[in-house]
Amino acid sequence: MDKIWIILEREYLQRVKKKSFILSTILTPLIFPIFIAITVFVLSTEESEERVIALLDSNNFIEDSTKFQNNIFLKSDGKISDIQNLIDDGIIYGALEIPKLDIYNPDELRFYSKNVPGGDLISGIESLIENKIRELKIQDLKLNEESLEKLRTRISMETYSVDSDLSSGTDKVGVKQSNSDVAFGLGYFNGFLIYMFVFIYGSFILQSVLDEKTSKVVEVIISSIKPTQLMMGKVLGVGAVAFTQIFIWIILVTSISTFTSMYFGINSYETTQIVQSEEEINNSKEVVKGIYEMFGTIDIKKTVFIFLIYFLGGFFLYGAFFAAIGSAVDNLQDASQFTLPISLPIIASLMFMGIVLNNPEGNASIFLSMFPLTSPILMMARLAFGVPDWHLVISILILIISVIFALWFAGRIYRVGILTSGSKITYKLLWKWFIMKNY
Amino acid sequence: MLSVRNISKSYVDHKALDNVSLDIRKGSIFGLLGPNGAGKTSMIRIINQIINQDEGEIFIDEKKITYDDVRKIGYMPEERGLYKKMKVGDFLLFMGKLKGLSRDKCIDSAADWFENLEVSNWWKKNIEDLSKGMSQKVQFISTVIHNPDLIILDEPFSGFDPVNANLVKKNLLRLKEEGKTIIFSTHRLESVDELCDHLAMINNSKKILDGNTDEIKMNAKSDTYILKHDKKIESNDQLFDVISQNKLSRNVYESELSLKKGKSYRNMFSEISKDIEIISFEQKVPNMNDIFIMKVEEGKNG
Repeated sequence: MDKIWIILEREYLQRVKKKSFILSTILTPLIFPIFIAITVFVLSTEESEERVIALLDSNNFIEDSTKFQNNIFLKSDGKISDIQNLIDDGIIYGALEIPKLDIYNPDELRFYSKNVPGGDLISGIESLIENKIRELKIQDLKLNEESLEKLRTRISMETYSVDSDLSSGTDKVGVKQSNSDVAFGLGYFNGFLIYMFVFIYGSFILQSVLDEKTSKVVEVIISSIKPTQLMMGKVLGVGAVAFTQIFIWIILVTSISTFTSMYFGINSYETTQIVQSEEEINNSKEVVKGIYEMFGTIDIKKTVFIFLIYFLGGFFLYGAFFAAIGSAVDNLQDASQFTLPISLPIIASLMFMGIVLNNPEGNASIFLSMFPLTSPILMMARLAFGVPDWHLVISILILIISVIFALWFAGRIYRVGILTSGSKITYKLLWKWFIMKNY
Repeated sequence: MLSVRNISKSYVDHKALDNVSLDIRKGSIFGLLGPNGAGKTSMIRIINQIINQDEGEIFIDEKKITYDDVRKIGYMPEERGLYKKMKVGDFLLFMGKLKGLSRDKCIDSAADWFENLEVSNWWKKNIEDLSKGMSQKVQFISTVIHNPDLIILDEPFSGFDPVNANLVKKNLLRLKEEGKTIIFSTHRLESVDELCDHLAMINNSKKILDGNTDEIKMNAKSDTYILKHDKKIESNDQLFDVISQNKLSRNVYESELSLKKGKSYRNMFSEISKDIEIISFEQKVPNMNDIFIMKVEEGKNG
């Protein structure tokens, strides 16, 4: 055990002292806020030239010289074919053709432009005309605008999850406010984080094992330590680095978000939003409020604890496979044919995430959150929606057993592979190594 | 000190060792010779328990070898390298710790060895900045840093330049004087004469020769003599054949004579010296290469 520690210590210190590790650890949590800031900045300073859209409106729905987004509608009496030529020559941006129409059955509205117009523009124009038609209908039907406004109802249902753990008394069950949007986001975030770490740190293990093999330092070391101990030390060492990184990130993200919410509060949301309508602002305000409330009510300790279990479990499970591959091959190119089948379940987990997030209690979701190759990512996706404890226990047990099996399996490949170079590696050969009694 | 008994080892596609036994005495230098692919590295890896034998056993001081014994061996494999991204000192500390050394002992021992190998203190140097010769010295130091009683070197001189090879040889002899036991393998047979007390030869997974270096040479000697003399020698039907004869200068000839079976060189000597002045007289002793080729040929014929 002390020797595994020596390997672990070296692996850990070598990696943690690297500039690339320090930079990526500090900068990555800043990337998302910076990215958002840049997007907001670009969007708010966007001042493209005003584009002319010819208006062939037989109903006078839209007034002449109406400005819309960064376009201006200019009435035209020309023929549509002439206008199409103007568009083709790039003199005007586009044309909106509204034929004389029945307000109860509007059709044959056309928009012409050289390039395919953006969705914002089209839906914007559509709602512009829809509103106009609505006004016309109100007049036509002799309705009262005020009564109509009263007809509109907005409700916002609050969802609560029921859980006996939350009650202070013994008989009562407690409730806490839940928010499926936030659960969705949190589930996706956690699952994605594990996905990313398994991939990045899995390939670190592969690289590290391969480096030892190609620099031929490995035999020097396994004269004083058993190959499986070396492998364990390495996997644990890289795991400790990953753990360090995620730990620093948790701290950084927590402090950054506390800092930002303290400075800007919820107000920051309004200023950075691209204002569209009163309704949507209220909506987003509620979401933001929801997020803050949600994070207030969510069991953060439990989430972090379970996250770390699946994080380590997933890492060791896949790390073992990556170590075995690294030991078997002679260079990175050869490794790719073996990393592909290992990567498939990880990539598939990400694809299945949609299924799990939309129906966290479906049979498929339950199976995927138990199956060890997908559970690290998909149980984390389920977790925010609430998972029965016994599901968690079974899933974690299966994962632990699988990790032990994977490490044993990898160790048997590793002990042979690490000393074998120059042979063409096939699955058949790997199997022979695996079943070999004496090596 | 070390006794290897009836070791056999097969890989997936071929047999590497076939019933090979070796006995290595304490305080001696033992050479394990043979061409590439003969099974030397397999034997050394088995002794170091890097791979396991199929059959046979290994004893150290009459007791079955344990993993703790193996850890005490100073082993320099043929496939050797250093972590490029480490500092020399960190690497030596790492290797020393793996061998169970404390930090202070590591530093002291490394300092001694830097002196022995005539290099300045490289403790703080980056390994990737070392030249090839320098990194080989670091490799050697990492092998002996824990002052092992048994040192096993697989092809120690491959890659060393002649100056460094000599330095290592000198240090190996010094270690032998201190009572250490050294086993090394090489396919360069000419390099063993001056170093090995004992040797064994392996070819095609079998041991074909084993014994004291001088004895092996004596046993392998043929009844061939090299003479320098002043007049021509004719072959003698009873006693000897002249294999070759060269005139070196006026009145000096060099001849290679082969003594007939069952005859004494004294008779040949007195017969020749009747009318010829003998300047020098020497029995031709084969070098290891000749012996090896001879043995391999014997093996083929037998």
